[in-house]
Amino acid sequence: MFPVVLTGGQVGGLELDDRTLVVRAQEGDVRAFEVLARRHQGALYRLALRVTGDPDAAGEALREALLAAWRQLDRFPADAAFSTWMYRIVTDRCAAVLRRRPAREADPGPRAAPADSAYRDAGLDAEQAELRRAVRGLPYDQRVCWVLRELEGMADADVAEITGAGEGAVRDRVRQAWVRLAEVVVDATVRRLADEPVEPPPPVLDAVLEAVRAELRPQATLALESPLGANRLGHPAAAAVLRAVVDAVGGLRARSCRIVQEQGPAADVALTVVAPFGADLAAVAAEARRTVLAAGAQVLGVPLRRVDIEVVDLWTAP
Amino acid sequence: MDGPVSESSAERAAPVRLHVTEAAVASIAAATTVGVPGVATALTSDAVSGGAATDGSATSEAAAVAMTVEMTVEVAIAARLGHNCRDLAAAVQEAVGRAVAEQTGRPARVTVTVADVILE
Repeated sequence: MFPVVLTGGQVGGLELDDRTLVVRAQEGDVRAFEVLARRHQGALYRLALRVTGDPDAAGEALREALLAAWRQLDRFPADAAFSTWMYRIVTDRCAAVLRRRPAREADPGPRAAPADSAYRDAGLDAEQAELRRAVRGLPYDQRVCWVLRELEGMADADVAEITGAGEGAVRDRVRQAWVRLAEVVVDATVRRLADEPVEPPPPVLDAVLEAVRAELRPQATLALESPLGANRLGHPAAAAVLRAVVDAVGGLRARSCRIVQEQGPAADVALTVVAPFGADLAAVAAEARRTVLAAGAQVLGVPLRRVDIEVVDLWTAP
Repeated sequence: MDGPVSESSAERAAPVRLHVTEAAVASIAAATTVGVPGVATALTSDAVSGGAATDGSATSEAAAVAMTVEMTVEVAIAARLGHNCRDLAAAVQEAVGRAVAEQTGRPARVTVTVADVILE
């Protein structure tokens, strides 16, 4: 019997790159999505907080954005960065949340914030409080462009990609925003605000993951033989197991995992992997193939007829 | 006067009709499922073809028909790492089928879906 090495916490422990995690999540791997969400939620919340100016609205926008991202993963552009894609979803959700809260939007005056809030007024100087109020008073399009450009430090091209506006329109919006803000702020205040630490995001992720798991109904399944009638194994679950065993082989990182079971109990597997730079690709692929075959029989209970492994990229240790 | 105890005429005329709801069958399935070693969680359990209905009159033709109609029970589980998914699914299938049959008096066709494998 070939030993199957499969340890727990693989996804979190391997520091997988965003692209690998996105591919896994697109195939229904909730753990991969969770790692992505945990990795980016701080920056996403900071953006939402800066755009909405309201911790409650920002938390609501973050929750809606993460759930929307899970549901729209199949539409994730192959050449996009996950962070850019998520920024776009967050700004969309911020707009939706603010539309539902017109009263608060129209009255951006000081509000009692928690003592540890990044938006606490008491501990910050009056200029920054004034700046926040002025930012909240900007038209939404100008506000988003200005926050992304001046507080998040993004290039015009990135802001354009996130907002869907052209670069010229982005520059115009930022310029118009500055005209309005110049009445109340100076550059130094903006720089202080940009450098200001932002409180950690509210605990919305657990609720998002709970909703995601509740929606998870494996559409594609593999048949499991049984004398009492065939049972089923969800494709995402089987793929997660096979990816985990590949992750334990010679520094490989599994990306996609397609499993096809057309006739009879045997299945064919096609995996794409990222391999470490300098590795003997033929050797590690052969070892991965052996361990996948063993996992099929020993862990899944599905005999594997064919295992194809395609190296799609190389990674180097940082 | 001493004599043999006999059923009353009312009891003979009105046999007991037992109806077990889908929710009850699903509860039997869920409780049985989590007791199978290797099952981390019973994610869902549904009796999809209606509850069990048996007529207390053993000679009733209708009851005999009801007793032979299989219920279909669907169970979804998360499996613990270290258990073969095929064998675990078969064990759950057998245990749930037996428990439902014992408690409702009706056979059940059970299908188990291993929807997740807990890798931690």
